[in-house]
Amino acid sequence: MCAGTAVRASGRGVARRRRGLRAAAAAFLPAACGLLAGCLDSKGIDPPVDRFFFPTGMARTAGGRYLLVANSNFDLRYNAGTVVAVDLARVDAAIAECSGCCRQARDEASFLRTEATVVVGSQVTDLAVAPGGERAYATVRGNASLTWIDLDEAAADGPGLLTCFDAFSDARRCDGRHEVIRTGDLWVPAEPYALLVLEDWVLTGHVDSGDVALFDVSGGRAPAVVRVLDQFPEGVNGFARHPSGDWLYVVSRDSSRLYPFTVSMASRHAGEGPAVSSAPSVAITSNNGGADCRSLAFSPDGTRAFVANRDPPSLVVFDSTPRADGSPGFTLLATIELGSGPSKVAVQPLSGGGYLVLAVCFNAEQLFVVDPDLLAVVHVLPTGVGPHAIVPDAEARRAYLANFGESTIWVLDFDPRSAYFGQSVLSIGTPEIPSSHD
Amino acid sequence: MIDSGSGGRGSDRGAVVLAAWAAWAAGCESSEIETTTRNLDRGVDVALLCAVSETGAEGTTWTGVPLERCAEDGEGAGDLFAFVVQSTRGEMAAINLRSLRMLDLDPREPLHSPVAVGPLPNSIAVAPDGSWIVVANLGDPNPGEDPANPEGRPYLSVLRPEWVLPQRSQDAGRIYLPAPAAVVSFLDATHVVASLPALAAVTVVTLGDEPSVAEPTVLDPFPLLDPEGRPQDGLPTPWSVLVDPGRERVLVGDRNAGRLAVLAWDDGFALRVTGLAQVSGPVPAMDIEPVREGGLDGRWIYAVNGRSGGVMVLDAETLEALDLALRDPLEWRSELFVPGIAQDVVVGRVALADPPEVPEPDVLHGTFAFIVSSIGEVYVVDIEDRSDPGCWAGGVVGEGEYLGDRPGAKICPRHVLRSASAPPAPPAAGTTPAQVPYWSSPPALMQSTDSTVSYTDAPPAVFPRFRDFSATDEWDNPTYGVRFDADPRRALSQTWKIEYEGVLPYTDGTAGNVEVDGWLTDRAMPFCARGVLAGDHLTILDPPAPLDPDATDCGAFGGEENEERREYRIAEARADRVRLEALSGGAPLPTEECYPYAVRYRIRVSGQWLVQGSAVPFQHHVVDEGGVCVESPDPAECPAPRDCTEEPAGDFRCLNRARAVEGAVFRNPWICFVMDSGTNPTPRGLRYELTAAGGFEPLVATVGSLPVAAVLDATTRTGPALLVLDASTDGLSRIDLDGFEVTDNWP
Repeated sequence: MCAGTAVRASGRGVARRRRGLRAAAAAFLPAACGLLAGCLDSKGIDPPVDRFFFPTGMARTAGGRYLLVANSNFDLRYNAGTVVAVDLARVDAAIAECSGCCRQARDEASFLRTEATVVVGSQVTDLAVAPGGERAYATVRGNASLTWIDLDEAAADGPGLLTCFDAFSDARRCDGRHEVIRTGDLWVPAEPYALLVLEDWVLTGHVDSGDVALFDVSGGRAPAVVRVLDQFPEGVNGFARHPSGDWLYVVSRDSSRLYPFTVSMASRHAGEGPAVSSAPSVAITSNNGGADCRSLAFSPDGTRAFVANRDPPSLVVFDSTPRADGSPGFTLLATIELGSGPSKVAVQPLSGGGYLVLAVCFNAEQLFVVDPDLLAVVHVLPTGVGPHAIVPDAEARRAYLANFGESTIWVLDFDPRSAYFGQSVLSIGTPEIPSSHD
Repeated sequence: MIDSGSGGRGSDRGAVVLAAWAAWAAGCESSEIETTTRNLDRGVDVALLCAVSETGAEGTTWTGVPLERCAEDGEGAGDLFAFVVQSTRGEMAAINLRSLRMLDLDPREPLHSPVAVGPLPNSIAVAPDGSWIVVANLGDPNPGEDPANPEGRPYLSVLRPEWVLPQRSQDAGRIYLPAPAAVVSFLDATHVVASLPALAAVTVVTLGDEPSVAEPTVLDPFPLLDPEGRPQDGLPTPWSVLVDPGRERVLVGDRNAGRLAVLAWDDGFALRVTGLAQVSGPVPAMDIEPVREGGLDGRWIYAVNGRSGGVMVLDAETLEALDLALRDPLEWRSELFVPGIAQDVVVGRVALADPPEVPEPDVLHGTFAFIVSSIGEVYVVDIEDRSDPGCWAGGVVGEGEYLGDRPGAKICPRHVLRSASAPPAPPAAGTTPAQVPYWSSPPALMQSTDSTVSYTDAPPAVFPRFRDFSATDEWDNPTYGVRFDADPRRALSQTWKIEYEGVLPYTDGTAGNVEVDGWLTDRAMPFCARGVLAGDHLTILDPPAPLDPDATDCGAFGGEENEERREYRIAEARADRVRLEALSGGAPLPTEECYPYAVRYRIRVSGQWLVQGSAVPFQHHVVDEGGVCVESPDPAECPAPRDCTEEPAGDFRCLNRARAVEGAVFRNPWICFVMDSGTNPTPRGLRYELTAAGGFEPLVATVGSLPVAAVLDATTRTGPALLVLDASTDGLSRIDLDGFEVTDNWP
């Protein structure tokens, strides 16, 4: 492979040194603050605007100019998380500069529009951009909120790219209006984890309760909680929308089933908010156990569904061609063994109409590439530490992989014409491995 | 659904993808190998090799020999080895099945060290004479990574057994291919057939000092026209390869299309396409019955169906699939099915050195198929039980025809899952064998008020009753008028619920849209697939909710508590909608004005009993024909038996019924009864529940959590045993076939 291995092979020493310094700082500062109560600002350390720190969510902007990255502040080193914007033009330039394959990791600061960085709550779990591209949404565990950020890709000034506050300030901290924790008496449930953004709705899945909160965002209005669905099992941690229409799906780490449902304002019950119709759940009967579904993705034409399941670690493949009447149709086709801890699955469109399935295995630190026609693994890419979020970019013929555990973003080349097809061609950020990793 | 068109596109995509992998650039470094504590990691295939040792001045050397040399103890007998390829690691490990030890093939490395093969090995095969081991690598090497392979061409890995036994002395050789190979199989000692899915082709590779690769034989477009001279859809992604040496042909299965290509080879081992067989699904794996005694070719091919997850049984002579539903009511579907997805199938002959005197369920002596299920279980399929002389026409094992294909009093199963229980024998006078199915308790009569009455206490003149064909069955078990088939394979241990005017399962709708002329639509409800027919009743559960209650009078529909008023007869059932008719005395047809929002509803049968089993769920027999829900097959073509003591006429698949009518025989593949009316009208919700015990339980062994492949050790020196490879947790497991239990495991 190209950049990834180079980073790991040559960057380990650097990583260890940085890890040592930062881990020491992380350990020392809170302790010192505790000993010297009152000596430091009780608000803690402000997060850096030019760093990745435990990235959990990513989303490409609609115009394709930026990759938004949510930094979770997972170890609570800082007093908040951030959402930063990676300038993809700079990524293009860097890759072109190294003739398509950069062997050395690059400092993230040079790729970020740091003036646009916004500060959000700690422990962001997911990030998505609205279909129209005018807004980004983040699920934030730290304050159990749906945080929304106005997005102006064409903003001439950097600060205007991302805003989540009514009045500009140096802190660039999202204000309360942009952090929805309740609407009237309807509260956002605890532990938001999964996120799905549609034209008129935003859905958040809550891992503890299994609740799904439904936010009305139609017409560009500020998100308002209009209903909390409680018919799903605990452990909800993934959504997907079937490409053919209205059917949405929930997966849960406590269940071996997929849960199809529709949301419609056109056929609502009086006084009950939007109507939600559920179809019978779809069982994963191919796995021994199977009760740990982490992620679901559909093929671009909707005829295949891919589920990342941890029990055992596998990619479960369905024929998901809808029935003649449009209702969900699922036929189990295969279960393909993966590495330990699959966490995300994504579909990478290829030029020419084909596609590949990318399955991120967090524990194994591998990205499995599955050919949907062969129903077989055709490549295994070693990743950085703790890979999690992955975002295919069909237009750029790339995918972006967030290595949560080492705070880097890898750029993977999926241009069939490229000499580096399937490889990591750029590592943004120097690996920084938490002390607990060893 | 995958059709030939999409398969063709898939071929293109596969070619693009694999070609793209091949385009990796020079200069990028190789990946690290993750070290785990497990010896076998993501094993994907296993093969057996027999090798003999010779000790000389330079130490012990091993040479591969035909498997027969490992069959029995004696001078010159070899040791049997299992070779396992591991996908992600790109390695091959070896286990000596005689010493039951995993070999340390490379002492320079820690732990049990395997030898490197190629990227993403997917299949392994051993030459019939034991001289070669060949591994198909599905991955592409990185260009420039290996100076010996600067262009990064895909290759087969080839090894001589002596290169790796007892330890690695030489790296695997490489034979470069035009595309990555998926599956390999030997034609003879030095010729290998390899499937090349990226090229929609197969090729023959010649091993030896000067290896060669033949021009690939492309299977899509298919090179033969059909009998009427038209082009045929081919195999866009050839995958499985089965060599049938007796018939001198190669069968190739596809990963996406339900087609088998038939090829022959000439003296120069050039392949020639000779035919095409249509099957009901893709064939990712298959096996054939070995050559029979007297040199007769094996007759049965077992093929995994990649679409249904079951296993097809093909007649090797005609390549037509047997319709198992016509052979045995237990298999009401046309294929063999096991829980989970069939991952691999192995067919073989097991000859115990000390066969049992009487048939025992878990002692395998005869010809069997073994189905490896994705849920971590292995099932046995009976083909010929050679421990039972009664199954042979000559009265002696092997003499005359095996009776499995012929109905008769003696049950000699063939192509059905092997039972974990002994087959039933006629009981001695006054005894009741425990193995036959029986009702574990009398039926419980649940009244519509949910109060329970025992069957014997229920006043017979009042309540409907099961017609009593006989007081007891042949084994003195009371039948209560509900009969099992005497064959335990045809009865399942479960509870049956028989409810008058019961609600059809999964017809509780939440989003019915009321439209004009009595139509009700619901995109979430596939009415036909749920078994809805014209004549059933639909109840709207929600009270009316007009947009303007003051302006719209909806009083005729009743309120929250008047649910029963809103019951309608379904005059027409279609796949996505039903048309309602008002019932006499009930509410008028619902209107859009009174029901502007989605409504909740449920559907029940009317004037009928709904029959449901717990182990065998609701078996609807309603299909969508031109948009209208109709019974399938036509009841007129399915004459009902006169009573439950006679064999039913017609196609067994006519028996998948879920509705019983009082006074008429109800029969499905598991139970049979007639419900006679009582003196009082039968109330809605009246329900009988019967619990059966002693029914069919298949013989099964548990092996890991995601097994993917198996191989049969038919020898008596280290076997007979089935070796099953689990990709996830358990590695390789050995199942002793003289007792059918896991005896050893190499995780």
